[in-house]
Amino acid sequence: MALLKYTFSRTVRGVVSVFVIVTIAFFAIRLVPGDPVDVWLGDYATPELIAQTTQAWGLDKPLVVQYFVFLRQLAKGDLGTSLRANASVTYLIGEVFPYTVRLMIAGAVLSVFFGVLVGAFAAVRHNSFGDVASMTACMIFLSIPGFVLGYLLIYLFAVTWRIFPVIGGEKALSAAALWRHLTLPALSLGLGYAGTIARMTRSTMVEVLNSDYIRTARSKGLRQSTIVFKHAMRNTLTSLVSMIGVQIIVMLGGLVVTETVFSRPGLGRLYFTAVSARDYPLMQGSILVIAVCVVVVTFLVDISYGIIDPRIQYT
Amino acid sequence: MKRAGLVLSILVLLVAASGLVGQAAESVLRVRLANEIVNLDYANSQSVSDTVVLYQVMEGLVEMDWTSSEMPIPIRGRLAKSYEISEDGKEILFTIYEGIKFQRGYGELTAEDVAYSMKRIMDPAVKSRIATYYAAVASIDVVGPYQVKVTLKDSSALTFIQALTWNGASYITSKKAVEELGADFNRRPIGTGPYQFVSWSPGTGVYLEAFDEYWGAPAWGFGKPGYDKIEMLLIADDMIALDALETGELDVVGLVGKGSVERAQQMKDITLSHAASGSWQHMVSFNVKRPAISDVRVRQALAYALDLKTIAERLGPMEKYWPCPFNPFVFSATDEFWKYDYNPAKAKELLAEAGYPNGFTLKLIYPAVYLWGDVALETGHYWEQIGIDVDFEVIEYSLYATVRRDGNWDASVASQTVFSPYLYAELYMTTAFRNYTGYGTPELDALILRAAATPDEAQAEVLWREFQQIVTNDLPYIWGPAQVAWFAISNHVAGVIPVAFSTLVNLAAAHPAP
Repeated sequence: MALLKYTFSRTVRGVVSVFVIVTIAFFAIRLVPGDPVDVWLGDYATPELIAQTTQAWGLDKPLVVQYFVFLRQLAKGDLGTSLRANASVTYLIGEVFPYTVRLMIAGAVLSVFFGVLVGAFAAVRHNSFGDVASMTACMIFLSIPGFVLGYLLIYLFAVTWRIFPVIGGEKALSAAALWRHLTLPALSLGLGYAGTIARMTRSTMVEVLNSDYIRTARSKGLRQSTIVFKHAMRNTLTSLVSMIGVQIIVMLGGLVVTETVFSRPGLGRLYFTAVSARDYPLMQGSILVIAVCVVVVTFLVDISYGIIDPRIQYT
Repeated sequence: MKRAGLVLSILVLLVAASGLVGQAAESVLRVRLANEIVNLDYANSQSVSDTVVLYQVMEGLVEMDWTSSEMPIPIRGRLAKSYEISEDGKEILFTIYEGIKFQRGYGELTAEDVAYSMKRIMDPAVKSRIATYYAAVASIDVVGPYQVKVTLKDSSALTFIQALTWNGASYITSKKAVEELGADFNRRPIGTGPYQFVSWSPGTGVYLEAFDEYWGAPAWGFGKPGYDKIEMLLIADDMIALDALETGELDVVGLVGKGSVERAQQMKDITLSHAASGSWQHMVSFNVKRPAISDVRVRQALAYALDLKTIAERLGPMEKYWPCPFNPFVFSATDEFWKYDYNPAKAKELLAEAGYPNGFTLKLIYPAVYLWGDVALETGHYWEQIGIDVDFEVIEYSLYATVRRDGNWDASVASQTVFSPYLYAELYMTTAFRNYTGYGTPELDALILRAAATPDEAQAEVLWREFQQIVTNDLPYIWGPAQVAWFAISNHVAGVIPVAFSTLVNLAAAHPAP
């Protein structure tokens, strides 16, 4: 019951947050220098064509009127029509969003898996050669820009060894297609974040491994893996989960680079194209979807606290 | 029992094998698109990728013959069996071939479709960016089942024909298709070309399939489509596209960025090919309303200061030295009036004569796209050698037209490709909205309009040469190197025709190499 009430309250807060973000975005993107009509017409512009296009796109109306038109469309579930493509924003986003979701999930799973594993290993081998080597590797992955890592992965795994393709997204949802098309982009997106998670896991776990209850577990003769993954990990997870949530949100920002380098369809590239063209409806639609993603991820992270630590109450 | 199982297994294997034998492998041609599709309505196509797709799906009444090595590139009828220009240059009678079919069962191409497709560009409701190409048109009339007469307000038939070869200005679609598809037409183009549109997947690319009823354009020798399917895949980065070519994921890659040709030259099993001439004509524009720049001696000094041949060489194989107001493939183009060979001493002398012995501060703006940034940096570097204090400013591409129109700059870099002298010359007219330089005189306007409205080719050429001489003397622009459109093509593919415009390629005759 408490969870249900909490979910309802968070949903209301989420909707309000998204509304505020979208409203700010609506006005902010129009403050950015540059006019979509100018971009569209370029050197073909004539005063008559500028006037015609401005009117046809509804940009001649006062800003407040444009805002209410946008809200009215939004209430009907219509994100409007892309100015350049003259296609429904919902259609354009719908075509690429599944690719983004799959990449985000793969990147997040990969970064958490490697991050936690390496962090736990370094904590257990605290101050050993293994600890220093794994943390150095983490620093390297953290420092390499996403596009450099992407090109490196393509050069090694696609061009030299021909294990994965250089370009494209997964057309089918078979395990083989996902493996072929997601592995390199997910590695490129996730490895840097894996480094952050590993460092965080290590520092938290080193502290936990020195606590009294772990000493007790050791004195009882429990195996190292049981101590680490059953007893120590649970107490590490609370702080880790909040950071993973933040990392996933930050990961959204890395999408443009990853999608461009691997020539994958996705929301990041779509948004970048929209900004370049000052395609207001497409920018608004993309921002709305990203805002919803952030709200959902934050909500899931908050919910997971209670699952990890039953002492935490939903209020 | 065991024997029965064995016989059954053999039968199953035989059936499976016969199925495999019966299935011929589909031939697929994979082509790179350098940027995202924007709009596939021929009247409103915008990105180069739109043009690349439409080039395979649609056909024009008249087109430039890129298979020819003649200069200027000859114009030939494609859907038009003939086009007759009246003596006064005010009427053009187009006669189209009979029996040409539209894709997707939209029936036979008729004069009705031709007139409709052309009028559609002029329709204000369509908001076509190329409506200005039709500014001289008074009427378009169907005069027979396969004949259309275009009547012009003046004698500019020759200019109109030249404009029709560019930007899909003479693409013909089915009236029925436009009416049926409505708002979806910009995502489902219908034409008479060798490949028909299947789907566009945003962020991924465009898929085409062979149009089995394609008429083959016998006069052009295209024949039936050489591939079952064409996949046009969106790959923004040149190097990644070349990687994909190397691994066999792509077959045809149009090269855009600096260094890509050099990389492709090192690759095995590919052929490097380019159109007969340069495409993008790089131009350094001068804002002649600014104090120092308004003096023609200063502009000439800035021209003498540039070693354009070396700049073209330094920019690599993608650039060709061509200091001329028109692209080399355009009717009447000539570089004979260019007199500003590299001479820094003469440049300094002219600057001193104009009252700037110690140079002056010059604001050079450019967006960091294509090779414009490289052209700007090279140009600015040479100007600094004669004492000019160059203030470089990078402008976001989306804002570039607005900033240039605002006029707070001395020099700016741009490039242009059009296939008609008039469309180039329009830039120099006092009435032109996109004349950002502020240059122009009523006399020059009159000369341009006279040249555009001269039906006789020889006379028109004389007038266009006079125009080129005047502007080469006045230098509202310095015409830098022309970018060559290079293609890296897998040796498994033959018959690809490169077109002199960025990544534009004609695949009508493409087929698997023997």
